Amino acid sequence: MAFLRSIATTAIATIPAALAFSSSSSSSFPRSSQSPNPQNRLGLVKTLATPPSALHMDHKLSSQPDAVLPELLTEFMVDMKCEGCVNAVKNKLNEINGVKNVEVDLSNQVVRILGSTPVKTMTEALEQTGRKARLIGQGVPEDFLISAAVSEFKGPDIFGVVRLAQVNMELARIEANFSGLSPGKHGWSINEFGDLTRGAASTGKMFNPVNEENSKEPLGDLGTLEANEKGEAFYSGVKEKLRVADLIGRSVVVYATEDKSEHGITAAVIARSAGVGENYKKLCTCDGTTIWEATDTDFVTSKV
Amino acid sequence: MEAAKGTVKGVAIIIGDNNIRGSLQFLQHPNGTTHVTGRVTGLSQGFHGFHIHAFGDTTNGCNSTVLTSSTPGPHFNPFKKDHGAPSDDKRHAGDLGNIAAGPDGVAEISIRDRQIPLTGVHSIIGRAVVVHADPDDLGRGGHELSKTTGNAGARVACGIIGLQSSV
Repeated sequence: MAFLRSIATTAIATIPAALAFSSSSSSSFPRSSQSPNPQNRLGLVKTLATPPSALHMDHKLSSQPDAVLPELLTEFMVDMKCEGCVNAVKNKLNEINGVKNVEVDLSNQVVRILGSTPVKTMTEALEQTGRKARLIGQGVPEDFLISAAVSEFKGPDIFGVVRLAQVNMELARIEANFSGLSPGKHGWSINEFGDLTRGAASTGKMFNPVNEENSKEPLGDLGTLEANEKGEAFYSGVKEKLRVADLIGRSVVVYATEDKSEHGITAAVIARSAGVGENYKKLCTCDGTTIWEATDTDFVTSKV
Repeated sequence: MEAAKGTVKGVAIIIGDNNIRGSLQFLQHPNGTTHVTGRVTGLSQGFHGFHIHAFGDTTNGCNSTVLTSSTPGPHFNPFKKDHGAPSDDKRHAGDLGNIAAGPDGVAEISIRDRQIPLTGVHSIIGRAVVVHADPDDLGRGGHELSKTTGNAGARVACGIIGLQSSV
């Protein structure tokens, strides 16, 4: 009990610091709609600056091989025990394109990264330092009631993780990793229900809130994934007007082909996930194991 | 979350290690009570802790004894209380007590509770419902974990609560 209290106390004491960092981050990197900042070089930001009445109704996902994602705070728990570990982790992360700032909290084994880098890239870099790393939070929870969400596809054939994170009021980042798909193009979408009673067949239509009914395509249309010869597909990009809070409890669906007229072949519920500063758990109190003791097979989906 | 017009319903498909499977339906009544019904099969005989956890993000596994399980966040506890029984004033909102499996390994579930809404800021949509290996001691077991988790042991199955069509 004393041990648990100690952990809880430490976590609680640290959260204000995390929030302070978030506040500092907010002031250092004001949101694009407020004042000029490096993101103004992105076409997307120019679009956002257009007066509301002239906003494009096109909600297409934006993704190109070298597209820059909007900046976001991402938190990992990393198995660090000494200052040398901190330096190794910082050095490794600072080598990555898109990383703007790295903060390390050794006592909580937390690494907080500000940047445009995809989760997959950051995770791989952390593991290259030889230390276990676990994604524990994304977004800026003080700005949004729900800033992050995740859908997990757990087989039997198709595995994947789709992460959604709110960047600002008008924009969400989407990152996806899939394996087990047939090679070629697959449509994918956010559907209105997270009802997997009959798999993808019971998830309803593509999500399209009432105020979007005049748009050319439903807000939940995510376009097309391209699976390589090994059946893997990766996506990172942004979508305008997507609000993570409105998606909780709905589903991500993947289709057999580019066309979405048939039921999807697999679906996963969009679940709440921790924002930055919301998840400093290290001890799994249900069975007493620590986050590091968990076997690697428990992470099969997060490594997909 | 924005409430759908009319009734709000939720559903969770429960999957766990080995042959544990189940399906749960959630229906919110106008009087503020949410009714949970369903069944879970493949359990060992006896009581199993049954909780709603704060996050439905199960990508960070944290369970070395149950390979196919993974760990949602801690119990859903928006009012920061100690773990307890469903009937206690001091309880996590997500503390639903125990479900009981018979000799056939089947637990039939019918629970009514006022702290697990399907709408509003404390909605349970998108959170994880978890079945544990052991009985929940309802905070009274005297174990160091009693006040946090009911000392209910490993998580053997879970599912994410999704929105269901209300028609």
